[in-house]
Amino acid sequence: MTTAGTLTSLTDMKTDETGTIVDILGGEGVTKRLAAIGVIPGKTVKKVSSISARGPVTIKIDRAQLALGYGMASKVLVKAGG
Amino acid sequence: MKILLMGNPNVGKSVLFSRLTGVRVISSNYPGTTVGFTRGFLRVRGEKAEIIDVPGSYTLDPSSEAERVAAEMVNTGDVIINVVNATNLERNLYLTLQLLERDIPMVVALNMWDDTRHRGIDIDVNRLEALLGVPVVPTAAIAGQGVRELVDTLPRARRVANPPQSRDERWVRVGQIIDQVQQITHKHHRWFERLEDASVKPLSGAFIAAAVLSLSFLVIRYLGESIIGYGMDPLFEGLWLPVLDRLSAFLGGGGILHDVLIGRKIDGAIDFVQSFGLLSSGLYVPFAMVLPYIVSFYLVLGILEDSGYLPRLAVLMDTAMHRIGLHGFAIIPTLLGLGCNVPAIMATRILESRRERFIAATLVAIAIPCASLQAMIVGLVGGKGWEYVAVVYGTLFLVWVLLGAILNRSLSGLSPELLIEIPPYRLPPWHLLFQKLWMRIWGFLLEAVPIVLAAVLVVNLLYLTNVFSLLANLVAPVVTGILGLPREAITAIVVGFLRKDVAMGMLALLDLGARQLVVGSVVLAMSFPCIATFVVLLRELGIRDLVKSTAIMLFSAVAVGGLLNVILSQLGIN
Repeated sequence: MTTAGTLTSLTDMKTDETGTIVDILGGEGVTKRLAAIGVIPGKTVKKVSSISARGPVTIKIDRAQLALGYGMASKVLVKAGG
Repeated sequence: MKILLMGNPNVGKSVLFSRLTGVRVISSNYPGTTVGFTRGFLRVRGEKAEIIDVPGSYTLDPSSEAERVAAEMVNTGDVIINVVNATNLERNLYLTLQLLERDIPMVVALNMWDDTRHRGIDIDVNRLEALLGVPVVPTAAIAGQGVRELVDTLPRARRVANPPQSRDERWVRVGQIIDQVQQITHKHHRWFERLEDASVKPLSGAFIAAAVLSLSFLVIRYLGESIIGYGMDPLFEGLWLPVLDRLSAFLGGGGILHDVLIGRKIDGAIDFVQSFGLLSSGLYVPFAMVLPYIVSFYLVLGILEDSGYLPRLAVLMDTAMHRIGLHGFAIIPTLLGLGCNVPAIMATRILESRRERFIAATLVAIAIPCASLQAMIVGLVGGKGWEYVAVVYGTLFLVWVLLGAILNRSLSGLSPELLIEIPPYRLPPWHLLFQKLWMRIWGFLLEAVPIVLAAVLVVNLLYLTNVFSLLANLVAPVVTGILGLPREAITAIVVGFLRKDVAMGMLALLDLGARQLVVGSVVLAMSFPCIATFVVLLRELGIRDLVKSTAIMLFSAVAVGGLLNVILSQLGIN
C-alpha cells in the first residue's frame, strides 16, 4: 500500500488502490485525448489492473472503466489514498 | 429538416436511430461500431425529416477518423439530438456543453434510462433541463421506451449558442451540473462487475480469454458442421440432385448448355463440388458450403460484440499487438475480417493514425481469410486431413505476425497508444442480436450469391474460349516453378479476384495433392483480395497506399507459397 498522500503515477500505483488525479504530465496532445475521455485533474480513480510489465492499465473513473496504454498511464500523476 | 444523432461512443445512438426510422443498422456493445454515417427518414408533425446516425465522439476536437466525421458533420444539421448515457452522465455532458456552444437547436435524449434505477442513480430531469436550457427526454432505446416522446419534443428543440468555453471551464461546469441533478444512493457489487474486473486482470483475464475463444471456435465449427450435415447436404442430395438428374437427361447428358447449367459429370454422376455448373456447384458452394459457416460465425461474433467482451480482449492483446505496430483495439477489425474483409477494413477507421490503418488494413487483406474462403478450406483441405488445415491456418497466422512486425519496423512513425472506454457487460438484447445476424446473412446472400453464379459462368465461358490456357502459359514459370502447382491453378487465382470460395472450388477440380492444396489455399488467401475488398481498400487507403499494399501482397504471397512448397516437399508431402 502506498502511503496516503504520496504522489505516484497510474503505472506505479498498486492494483485496487484509489487516488486523486493531480496532473497530466506531457504535451497538449496527450492531455487533450485524456481529457476527452474524462481523465482530468481532480477526478478520483481506482486502478483495476495492469497487464504485463509494460502493458495497458485499466482504471475506474466516474463509474466508467477505461484502458490506457502504458505510456499514457505513466503520465497521469495521482495522489494516492485520496 | 436534417436531424443529427450525436453523442459519446457506445451510448446507443444506432439503436435509437433504428427505433426512430425503422432502418435496421448494425449495433454492438463496444465504442466505435458506427464508423461511417447512416441516414434515414422520419416524420415530425407530418413533415418528412432526414436523420443521420453520426459516429460517436467524446469531443468536437477530433483524434480519429470516426471523430473527424462527427466534427465535420455537426455544422450541417438543422437539429441535434444529443444522446447521452444516463448511467454515466458526468462523462457525457462535456460533449453536450460543446454542442450547446453551436448555434443549432438541440434536444437531449437521456438514454439507458431503464438502467439507472438498479444502479442506484437518481437524475432530476427537470433540473437538468433548466440548467442546460434545452428539452431533456428520458429514453430506453433497446426497449423502445421514450422514442415517441423524443419525436414529439423535436419541434421544441432550443438554440442556446453559449459563448465558447475552455476545456477546464467546461469540466468545471459539468461538475456543477452533476452536483445539482444527480444523486447516487447505493452501489452494490454485482456479479457482473466482478466478472468485468476478472476479465482484465492478467491471470484470470488470460484464462477467460482462452475459454471464450476456444468455446467460440468449437461452437462455430460444430454449428457450421451440423447445418451442413443435417440441413444442407440432405436437402441438396435428396431433393435437388434428382431434379438435376432429370434435367441432365433432358439436355442429353452433355453439350455446351449442359456443361454451363449442370457441369461436367464426374465418373458419370453430378458432383456438387466438381461439376462446376451454374445449378450444381453454383448453388451448392454458396448455400451448402459457405452459408452454414456464415450463420455460425456471425451468431458467435454477435454474442461477443453485444456482451461487451471484445474491448476486454483488446486490453489483454495490447502488448502483443504493439509488436506488429498496432494497439489492442485493432483486434476488433481483425476478428471482423474472419467474417468478411470489407467491413473489417472499414472498421480500421477506429484506429487513430494513418500508419496504423495502413498496417491493419494490409494485414487483414493479406493474412485474414474471410468466412467464405475458410468454409471452403475446411471443406476441401479438411478432406485430405485436419493437419493440413492446421498448416494453412498456422502459416497465415505466422504471416500475420511476421508481416506485421516487418511493417512496424519499416514504416516510419510510432503506433499510438490504446485509450478506450470499456463498456459494462450486458446480456445481449436477443431481438437486436438476431436482427443483426439476419442483416449479415441477408447481406451475404444478396452480394455473394449473384457473384458466385457470375463467377461460375465466367469460368465456363473462359474454358470454352481458351483464354485460360493462354494465361496459364504466360505465368507458368511462377505457378509451376515456384509454387509447384499445375499451371491451370492460375485460373483459380484469377477467379479469386471475383470470389474466393469459387476459386477454392476450382482448385478442387485440379485433382491436387495435399501439398499443392495447402500451397494453393495459402496463395489464394494471401494474393489479390476479392474485388469488393479491393474497392474498399482503395476508398480507405487511397490509390498510392493501395498500390503499396498490393505490391506487398503479391510479393509475400509468392514468397510464402514458394517457401511452403519447398518445406512441404522436403517433408515428403505431395
